[in-house]
Amino acid sequence: MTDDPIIETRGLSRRYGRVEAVRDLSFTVERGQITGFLGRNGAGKSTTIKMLLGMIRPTAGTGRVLGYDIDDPVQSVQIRRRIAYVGEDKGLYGYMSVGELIRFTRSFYPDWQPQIEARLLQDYQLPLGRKVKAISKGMRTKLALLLALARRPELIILDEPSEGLDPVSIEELLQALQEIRAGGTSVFFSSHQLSEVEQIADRVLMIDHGRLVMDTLLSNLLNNYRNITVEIAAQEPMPAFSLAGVERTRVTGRQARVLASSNVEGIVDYARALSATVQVTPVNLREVFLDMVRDTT
Amino acid sequence: MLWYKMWRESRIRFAIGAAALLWMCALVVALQQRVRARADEPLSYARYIWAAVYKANVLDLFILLVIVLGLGGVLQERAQGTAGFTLSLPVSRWRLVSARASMGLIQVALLALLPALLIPLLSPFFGEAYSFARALQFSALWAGCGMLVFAMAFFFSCVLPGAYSPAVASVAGLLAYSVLADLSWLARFPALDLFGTMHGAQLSVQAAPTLASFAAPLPWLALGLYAGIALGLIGAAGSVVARRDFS
Repeated sequence: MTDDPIIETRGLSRRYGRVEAVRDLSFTVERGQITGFLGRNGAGKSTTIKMLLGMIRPTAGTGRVLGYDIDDPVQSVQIRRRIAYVGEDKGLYGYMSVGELIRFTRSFYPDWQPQIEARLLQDYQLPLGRKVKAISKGMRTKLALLLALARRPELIILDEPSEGLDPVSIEELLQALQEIRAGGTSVFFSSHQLSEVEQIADRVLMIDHGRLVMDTLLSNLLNNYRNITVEIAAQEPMPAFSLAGVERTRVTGRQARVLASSNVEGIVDYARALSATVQVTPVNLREVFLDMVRDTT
Repeated sequence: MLWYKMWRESRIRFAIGAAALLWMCALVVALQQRVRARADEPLSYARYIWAAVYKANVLDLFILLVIVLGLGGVLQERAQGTAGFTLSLPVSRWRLVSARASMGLIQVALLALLPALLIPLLSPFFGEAYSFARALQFSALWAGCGMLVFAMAFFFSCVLPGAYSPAVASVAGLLAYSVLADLSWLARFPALDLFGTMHGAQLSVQAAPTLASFAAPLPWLALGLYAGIALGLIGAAGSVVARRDFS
C-alpha cells in the first residue's frame, strides 16, 4: 500500500451551459480514512462522484483515483475494477432476482468474497429468489450495499447510502462502514445526515454551489472550531472580522457571529479591544454546516 | 455475464416477437387454400407464400419486431435508474455497446430463420410442399437487410433519449428511405433498394434451389453493403455512447 492519496482532484470543474455544477474543486482523500462529503441538494456532490467514476467528463481540471486518471476511459475501467460504488438511486436491474444479480455482479470482480456475501445475506435477510423490482426500497439499498461490500475494494464510494433505510439498518450500515475501514478499505460517502457523518467520519469535505468550502479532520473541527458571538455597543460601527482563522461572519444588528477554525484567542482579543461583549462556544458539525452553506454577510 | 444481461433485457421482446412471427406464418400456411381460391388468377403455393410472407404482411411484422429489438441501451437505462449501476461495472462503454449489438444481431438472425423452419415443416400438413432451401434464401435476405434496420434503431436508441423517440425515428427513417429508393436516379442502383432486396422478387420466380446451391443467387453485393452500413451505424452509436455524459 502506498501513501499516495486515494482520490486527488485539481481544479476539477463541470459546467452545464451557464450553470457551473462544480467549480475549481481541489482536494485529496487519504487512504484508510472515512471521508464524509457534505453539501446541500444540488451542491455538486453527485456530479463530483460521477466525474470520479467516469460517468461525467470534467470540463476543466484533473482528477485521479488510485493513481488512475478519471478522464481516461481505459484507466476509468481500472478504477471501477478496484473500487466499489453505491449510487444515490440504488437503481438495480428489476428484472433479475436477488440471487441472479449477485451472480451477475460477482462475475466482474475476481476479488469477490463469498464468505462476506454469505454473512451479509444472512444479516440483511435478502430473499434470493425474489425479483429485485419486487423488494422494498430498503431491501434494494441493502442489496446494493451487499454488492459493494462483498469484495475487498480499496475504496468504496457511496452516494447517500442511508437513503431509504430504517434507523436499525442505518446503524448496521455505519457499523459495516467502520468495519471495512478497519479492514483497510477507504470510504468516501456523501450524506445529508450530519449525525451519520459526525458518528463515523475521520475527515469532512464540504461543498457549496460547486465550491469546496471546508476540508478538515472531524476531530480538528470539534476540538478547534468555535462560535464567537460578539455584541458591540450601539455607538460603535460593526468592524470587519478579516482576521486569520475566521471562516464565516454573520452580522445581525449589533451582533456578529464569527465561526473560527483557529486563532480564537486573537479574535477574542480583537473583539474585546472594541469594548464588545464576547462569548465563545464550541460547535458541532451541524452548526458548522449551516454556517458554511447559508448565505453569509 | 454481459451477454446474460443483454439476453435478460431483450428476451421477452424476442420471445413475443418469435411467437408473433410463428403465429403469422402458421396462419398464412393454414389459410392458403381459402386465400388462393379467392385469388384473381391461379396462384402457385410458392408464389402465395412469397406474396403473403416474404413480400407483405409477415415481412412488415418482421421489420417492426427488428426495430423493437434495436431499442434499449444505457441511454434508456437512465430513465429506469439503472444506468449508474451499469456504468459502474468495470467494463468499457464500447464493450457494453458491442455486447448489446451482438445479442440483437443474433436475435434478428434467429427471427429471420423462423419462417424457414416453420413453413417447410408445416406445409405438408396442409397438402403442400415448400422448399427449405428457398425458405433459407429468404431468411438470408431478411437477416442481411434486418441487420441494417436493427442498426438504425440501435443508433437512434443510443442518440435519442425517451422510450418512444428512437422507435418513431426508426419508422420515420425507413419511410424516408423507401421514398428515396423510389426516386429514378436511385432506382438505377438496385443494391441500394433495401426493401426490394428484402422482398427477393427475383428469387421467387426462379426454380427452387438445392441446399448446396441456395447461396449462389443471393445479392451478396447488396447484403455486404447493408452489413457495412450497419456496422458503421453501430460504430457511430458506440462512439456517441463512449463520449456521452450520464449525469
